[in-house]
Amino acid sequence: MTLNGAPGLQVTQLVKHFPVRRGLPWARPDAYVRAVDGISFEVKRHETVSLVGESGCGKTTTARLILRLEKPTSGHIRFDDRDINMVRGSDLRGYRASVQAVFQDPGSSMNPRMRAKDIISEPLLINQGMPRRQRETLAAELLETVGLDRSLRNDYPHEFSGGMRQRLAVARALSLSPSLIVLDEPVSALDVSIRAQIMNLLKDLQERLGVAYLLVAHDLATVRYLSHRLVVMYLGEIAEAGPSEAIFTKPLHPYTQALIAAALPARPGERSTGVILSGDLPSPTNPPPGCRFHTRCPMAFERCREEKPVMRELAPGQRVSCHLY
Amino acid sequence: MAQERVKPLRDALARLPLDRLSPRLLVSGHSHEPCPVGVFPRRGLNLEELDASIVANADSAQPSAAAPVLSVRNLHVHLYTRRGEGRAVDGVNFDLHRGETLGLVGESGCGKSLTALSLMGLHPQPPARVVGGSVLFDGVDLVQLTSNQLRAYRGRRIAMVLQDPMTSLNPVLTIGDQLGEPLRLHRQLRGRGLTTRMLEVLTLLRIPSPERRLGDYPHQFSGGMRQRVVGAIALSCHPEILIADEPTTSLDVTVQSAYLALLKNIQREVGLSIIFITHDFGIVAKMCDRVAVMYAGRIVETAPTVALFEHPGHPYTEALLGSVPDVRMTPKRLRSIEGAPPRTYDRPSGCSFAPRCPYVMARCRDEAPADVHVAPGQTASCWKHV
Repeated sequence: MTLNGAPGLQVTQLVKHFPVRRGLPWARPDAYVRAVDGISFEVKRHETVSLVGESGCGKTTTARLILRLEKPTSGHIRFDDRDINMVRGSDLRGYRASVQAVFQDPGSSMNPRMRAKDIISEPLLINQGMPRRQRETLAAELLETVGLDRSLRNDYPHEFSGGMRQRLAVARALSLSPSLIVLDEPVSALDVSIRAQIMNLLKDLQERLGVAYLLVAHDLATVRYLSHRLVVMYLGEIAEAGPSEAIFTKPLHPYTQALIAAALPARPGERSTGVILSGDLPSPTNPPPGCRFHTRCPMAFERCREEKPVMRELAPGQRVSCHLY
Repeated sequence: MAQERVKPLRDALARLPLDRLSPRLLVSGHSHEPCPVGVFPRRGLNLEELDASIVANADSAQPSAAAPVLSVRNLHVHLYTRRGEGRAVDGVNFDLHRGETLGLVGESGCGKSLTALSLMGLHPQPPARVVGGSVLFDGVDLVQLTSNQLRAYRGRRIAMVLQDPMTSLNPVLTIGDQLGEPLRLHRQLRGRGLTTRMLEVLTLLRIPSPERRLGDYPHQFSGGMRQRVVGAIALSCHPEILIADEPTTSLDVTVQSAYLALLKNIQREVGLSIIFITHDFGIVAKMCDRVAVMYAGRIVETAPTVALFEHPGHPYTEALLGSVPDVRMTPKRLRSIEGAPPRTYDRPSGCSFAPRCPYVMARCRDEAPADVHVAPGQTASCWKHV
């Protein structure tokens, strides 16, 4: 849609609060779950940006906001310089076509009564009203793009294995040649031997088609393998963001350090350096004052409990929100 | 979504004690002869007496210190469904030694969970049935026991921790009720003694302020704490063996690493033997002393953990290790294994891995390989080594 290098997706000061009500649905909310609380980042063309953090940190909510499955409380999401929450009509359809999604469980995101070719080509029917003959040809091509045999086009989802179904989901996401695909835990439901297949497929497709990925995942090894840049989230805020290799080799935020330390070793005897976090994520309804991480931070001092740290760029492209620096 | 909603119901149905409603045909050994049912009376089973007899049996059987705590020999568990007979566990052999952690690794559908469940007769029947083999624990073959006789072992001498703590805990009973149950049943504890022991176990699992939490319900705990409660229930009766079936899959990385570290400490404190079922080589690297790799119902390789990572003996192990990304290294392209594991109901003849194996030979397709000794303590079932 636009030239290379131009900003693809820009998220600025995005906030999403979910009301919590004890009484009737129209009652005044008792509290708000501050799922996403003022985050900014961008996804450039052809690159993979990963959102990482523990469950409940707001990474999935962010992905859903970008897919326009939720409306933000405040803040903006701009795609190709247009606010996605302002677009209507054919522009909205255009946005939906250029941003697609692949979810964790491919089985539950497919109609069990549709054949593979129909699943893959349904977006083409809806968005472009493409005639049947043409759709079938394209579906067969897409199957081959994702490494499935053309002959499987008449099969139903249950006839595919988990890995093949995820390939099918990728094929469907590719059908409208999107410029961004949101991948929400794309491999965590898959078996070890299949995971590598799908990760390699995603990498190859990016090289070939130049599509950008927004990856939401909790497995850091997967994240490191696929991403160019990382956004580490904690309780709805960004703790650290920057180039993936820079963060993995030299994490600056104590939370990032703890996350990487907690990741399992790939070989026995490999010592993980750093502390093991104790305790759980505090409630996002009532986040701790000051730095949100101070309740679990091994390096916390007085200032962390009172003053909210600001995001600072400490290395090229690496932004950290911590009082230590 | 629909599938997820049906699952608890299906699980509940599978857990119905059918064996109490109708005489159960317990099939033993390789024969299909039914065993007599009800050697013990239904109620008033005297566990102390049984315990004593078991101890006596054990002494007469194998007094050697190096003898394994548990030894599984040629275990066959088949599934009988409309699709025919599925050889889900197809001749599994392994030993578990005192104080060690044995990892049972494999992909979904390889039979690792069914193996673990069938050790204590907890496999869903129907469709699963143990059709052969033995599970020797303390000189007793657990496969031959009736469900009533097995109650003396379940939770008391062999305990289990399953994947999702929310499905193993009863949401309408307090933690105290659920933790107290095995202690009342197996240890006959009551009143103050019971409370003391409950607090002891909760403290062992590092659950903060346990005295306040006994009256809490499962939903009041976080995921990690819930899994610790399940761990406390499992360890409450001082079992000799703990079977952990992917206990950390539903937990966050940070919570997972804390849980694993805790489990290791407890193992050292109380001298526990653990069978750790997982698909994650990271957990194996961190937790296990020895590993058994399962593929399509068989154990294809058994090795000490370090040896397995350094020189995998089976092509499947080698391929799996090559397909796991490493967090602590700059990414290199992963070698993926093409194809998918064979389905339970139609396994290839010969070696099950042959269709995906890079070293495949003509022989592999016709003849199932036997276990070959590759290195000290390491066996692989592959024709490559013959």
